[in-house]
Amino acid sequence: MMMNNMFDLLEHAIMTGEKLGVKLVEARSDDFSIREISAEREEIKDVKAIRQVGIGVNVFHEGATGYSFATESSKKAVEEATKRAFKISKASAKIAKVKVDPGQGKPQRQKELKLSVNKHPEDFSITFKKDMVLRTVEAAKEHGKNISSIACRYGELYGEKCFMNSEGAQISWQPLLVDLRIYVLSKLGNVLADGSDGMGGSFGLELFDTKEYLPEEIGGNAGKWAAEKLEAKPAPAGKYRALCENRLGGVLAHESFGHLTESDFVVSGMSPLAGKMGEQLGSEHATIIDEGILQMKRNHGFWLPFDDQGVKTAKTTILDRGKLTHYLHDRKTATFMDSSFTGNARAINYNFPPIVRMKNTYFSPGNLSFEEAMEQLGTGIYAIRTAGGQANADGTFMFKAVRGYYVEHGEKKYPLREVTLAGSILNFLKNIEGATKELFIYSSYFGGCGKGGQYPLPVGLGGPHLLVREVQFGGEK
Amino acid sequence: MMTFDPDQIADELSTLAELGIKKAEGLEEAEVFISNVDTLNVQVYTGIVEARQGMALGLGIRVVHAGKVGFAATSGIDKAKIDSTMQEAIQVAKARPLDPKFKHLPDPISISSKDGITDKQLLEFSEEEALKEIEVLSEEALAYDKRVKALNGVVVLNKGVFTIANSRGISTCSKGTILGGGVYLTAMENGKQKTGLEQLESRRLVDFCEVGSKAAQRAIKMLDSKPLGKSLRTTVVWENIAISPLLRGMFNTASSAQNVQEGRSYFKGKLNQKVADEIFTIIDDGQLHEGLSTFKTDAEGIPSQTTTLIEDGVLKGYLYDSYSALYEKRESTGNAGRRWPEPFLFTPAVSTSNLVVKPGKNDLDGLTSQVDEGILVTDFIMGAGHSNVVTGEFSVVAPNAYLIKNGEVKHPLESVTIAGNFFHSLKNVTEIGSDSKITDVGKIPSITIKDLTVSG
Repeated sequence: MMMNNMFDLLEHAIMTGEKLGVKLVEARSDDFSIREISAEREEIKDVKAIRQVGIGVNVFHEGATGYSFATESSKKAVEEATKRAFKISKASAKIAKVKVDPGQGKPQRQKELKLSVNKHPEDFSITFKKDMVLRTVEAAKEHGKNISSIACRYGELYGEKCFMNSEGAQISWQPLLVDLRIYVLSKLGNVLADGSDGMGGSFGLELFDTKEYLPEEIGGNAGKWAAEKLEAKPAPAGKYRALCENRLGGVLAHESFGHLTESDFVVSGMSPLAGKMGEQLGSEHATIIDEGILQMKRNHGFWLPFDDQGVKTAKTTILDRGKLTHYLHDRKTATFMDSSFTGNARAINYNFPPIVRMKNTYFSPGNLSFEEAMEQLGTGIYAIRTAGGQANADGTFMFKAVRGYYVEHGEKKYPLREVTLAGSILNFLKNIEGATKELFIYSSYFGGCGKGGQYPLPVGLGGPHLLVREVQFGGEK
Repeated sequence: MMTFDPDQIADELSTLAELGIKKAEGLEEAEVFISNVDTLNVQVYTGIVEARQGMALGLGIRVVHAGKVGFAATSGIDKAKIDSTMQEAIQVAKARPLDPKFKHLPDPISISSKDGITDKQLLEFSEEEALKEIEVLSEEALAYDKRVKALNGVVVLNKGVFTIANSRGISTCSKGTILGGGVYLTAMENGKQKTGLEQLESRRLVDFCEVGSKAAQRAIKMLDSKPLGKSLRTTVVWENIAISPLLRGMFNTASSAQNVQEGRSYFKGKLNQKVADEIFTIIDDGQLHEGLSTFKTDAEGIPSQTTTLIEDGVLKGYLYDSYSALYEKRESTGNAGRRWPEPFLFTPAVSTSNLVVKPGKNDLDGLTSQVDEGILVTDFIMGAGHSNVVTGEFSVVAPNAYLIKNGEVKHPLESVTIAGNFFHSLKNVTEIGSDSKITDVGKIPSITIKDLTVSG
């Protein structure tokens, strides 16, 4: 489907909606090409090639919204989707206790916006990417010990998103995401130890030509780290000062704090941050930002120039030196709460209407060097990355760091096996004592964010190394 | 207005799938999978209504080229897309190495099977009715108690048709319509915030009037919670909806014949051995009439069947798709699954259909009355998805739990963590409830398990 044809179809949705007399029509198309390759050791297990094209229509009518979509790219299908969206919005309006209003937009006109990359994945064969996967596996084998299994995955997503609304906006841009990751399991006697590494973001395949992210480097790290963990000791349980590595801090910023600032939770009263605007929640070292366009070359991340309501993505400081300064909005919550638009209305694909989601969420860097941070840590735990955990609506969390070190007098003493961090995000924010200078943001195809059945939505998360006192470690028998 | 008539759609999709197979003449083998799923989803967030409806149509093609399998998928469908997707699948096949385990695509198996309950009334269930239900549901919840402050309610109607044709003679079509509704809400008092969840899913038209008040009741009770304040090994009574996701996660992995073959299943080498207490019997019932995952065939066109996994504590069988079955020169159990609501995007993989645990005699109250000291876990648990499904190690958080003393359910508890090994726990099942509940996991009763680590 040529893009101009796509705009013709979207235009038809706008016209149909206007004829029906709705307040605002938003029409968008998502055209995604997706490739996934997965390997177990050197055996390629699965290769997937997917093309997802569809059109979604969202209407605002009498204080309610209605959304419909179609996977057929014809005028008839678009017209029917628009009529369906209208019908739903009309029925919804009858029972909606809280009326919603999209406010007044600033219609943007920008077409074919894209990142300039050297090696766009579209131009490279599946075989080329398969070889990248095999190089990663090979390196893991070379640097690992007593390996019992290796799982390696490559994923990419690219395509075109077009957007129009009845205010006159016309936008198209080309999302891009590549992701390479590997998981190594080593086994010695009864001891199981895992190691993993990966890198992803809005880049061409040249990302994996840079020294730090060569398949050899990524695979080698995973193998090495799994081997190291075979010798590791369990983390001591109790409260310790901690140094949280960039990705781990990013997951905390996103999972346990970011979600609470999503204004749909705030408006509905579910978020414990409702009514706390302007309150001092964290220390002066705790600043959290949500942003769409980063300095990709320096900080990496996921490139998101517009949200799915055609709003230019803002750089939003949600926590400013400990003080709650902003919620994240779509047009209706921003209007409802009398806030500026932040560009956080996102949908994973045409099946869904945009809802309030994060972009790239990260802790702001501080002024410490890594060495200074280790020195200030003194005796405590250096916790690195996370393989998952749980953040609750009340702000409590439990995350498992993938690796870690016990540190004494600023020196790494010994590697740790699984490290569980638990606590409440509000206490965590109060206890932040400092941050390092660097800013690193990680984005991934496989491990995106899930909300309202929309998973995995690409987001970025990260920050500097964070120095935090009194973090609860352990907690498992 | 376009309406979703499953019979008519089934005919159209079958014709297209057959056409696809004709186009594949000259290829070694081919399989065309087409699905169309109409979703009506209505949600309310404390007064704000969000609704969507649409059809997700698309096709996924598997081809065999030089003995290697390639898969490609696309949304939407027309003749040109069949061609381009088939070409893409061939490219994928070329890039893959030869898999010595792969024999061929499945052959037709003649076992009679049918779709689950079809309720004509559900096909005509409109957005107005869905909105009406959700209005009642949220009013019931908010009216139950003033301390109920925020809620998220949802009513979903899914109407689906999928058809499969392959070059070895399979040509089938399955249909199903499911209505679900639920509410997740928050109650607040003196700065304390507690949640409650209730849901109901069915192949028949049901009303949701009690769902709202039940969720409210669950959250309100929790406002009196006290910390457990210790860590102990004790008995845990799991309410049906709390244990269901953990059961599925574990059995989906451990009962998969492919995982057994590849050494990733706890049940490997344990066939006909005692793996659970003798009161524990679990089957995978792809033909459970009222089951939410009941279709005429699986996602490869193999008739859905009933497979005994554990009978009276003894491991009796594994679940097969055609890939794992042909490797062992036996027949598939009809357990190839592709993920909803856009199954065409996925290659088939072994998955459970409806897991059914044989119920016992006592209801939930009966179960707790048998426990001297322990805890009762209700609603949902968090972290089931982070369990180690290979070894069985799990550590989950239960936001809704109660202390049990001398057979009596005492005060509610602040969030507790429950840890243990699921597969070892199967031998520690001490009682099974009579209160089986239909969910997307299957039909599962409440279950009592002794000797788990609980801390809080």
